[in-house]
Amino acid sequence: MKSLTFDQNQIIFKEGSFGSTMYDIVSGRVGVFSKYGTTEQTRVAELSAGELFGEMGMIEVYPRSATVVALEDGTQVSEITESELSHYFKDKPEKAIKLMRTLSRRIRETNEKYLNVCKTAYERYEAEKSGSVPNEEIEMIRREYSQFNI
Amino acid sequence: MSEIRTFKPGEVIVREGEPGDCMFSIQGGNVGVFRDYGGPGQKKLAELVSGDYFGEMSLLDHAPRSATVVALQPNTFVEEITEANFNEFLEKSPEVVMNMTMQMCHHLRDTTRKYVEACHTVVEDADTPAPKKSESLLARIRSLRDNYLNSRK
Repeated sequence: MKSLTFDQNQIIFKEGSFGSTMYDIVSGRVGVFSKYGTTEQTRVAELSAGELFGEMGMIEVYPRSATVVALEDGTQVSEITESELSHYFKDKPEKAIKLMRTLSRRIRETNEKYLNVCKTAYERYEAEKSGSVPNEEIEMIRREYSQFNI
Repeated sequence: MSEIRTFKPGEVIVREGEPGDCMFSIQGGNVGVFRDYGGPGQKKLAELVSGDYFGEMSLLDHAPRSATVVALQPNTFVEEITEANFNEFLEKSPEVVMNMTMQMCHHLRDTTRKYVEACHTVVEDADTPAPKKSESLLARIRSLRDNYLNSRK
């Protein structure tokens, strides 16, 4: 397990990049940004000591969904790979439940997003019968989908 | 200390829809996992044996039980794991906790894949003029529509 230290505004990882590691904040704060460095930049979350991020990276299939940036000088994080996970849990058992809670929340959120797309499919299917198909939803889905780039 | 409970065949350990805040690790015997247990749509989803676990979503999220779990053999022993004794369980059975975590990673990966595929299907449908829609595309759209309708039941 590596310990890394970042200065304010230093990027820990970039949206769209591939990485297979998860991070645990030891001290300082980080910001989670969508479209960092563009005019559409939005801060999705701010995380502090004890919180985990990048857990999707351990799954290795999809690119990072956001850019994470240190918000303070000397922000320290532990970098954890999948093979280090059991050792990490042994050291910090309270993190196991924390990680599983994070995963569980993301499963629920992703499933809700999936059902929303199903709903759009249903609404378009119904609208096609009457001849007028709404298009606003499609542009949102197209944007979401394009970030996966597969 | 965690509590070990003993069940007789047919005894219900958790009931679908009830609130809960603990998970269970099977120490002996086996259990059946049922949807709509005792109802018209009763369906056995799985059978679990010693070393398996269930009920983790209630421990993590305090989510209601998603299925009914019933002891199938005499002397079915299950250990009740709460947030308070979870660390003790982790120390004793680290491989079970690792397994749980990896299962959840896989579940998240599958859900994400399903979501991305659904996005792809809906966009493809919007971009294809009606006469050019293939049978496979129409079938995928119908399946998304049905999933939405089923989720509302």
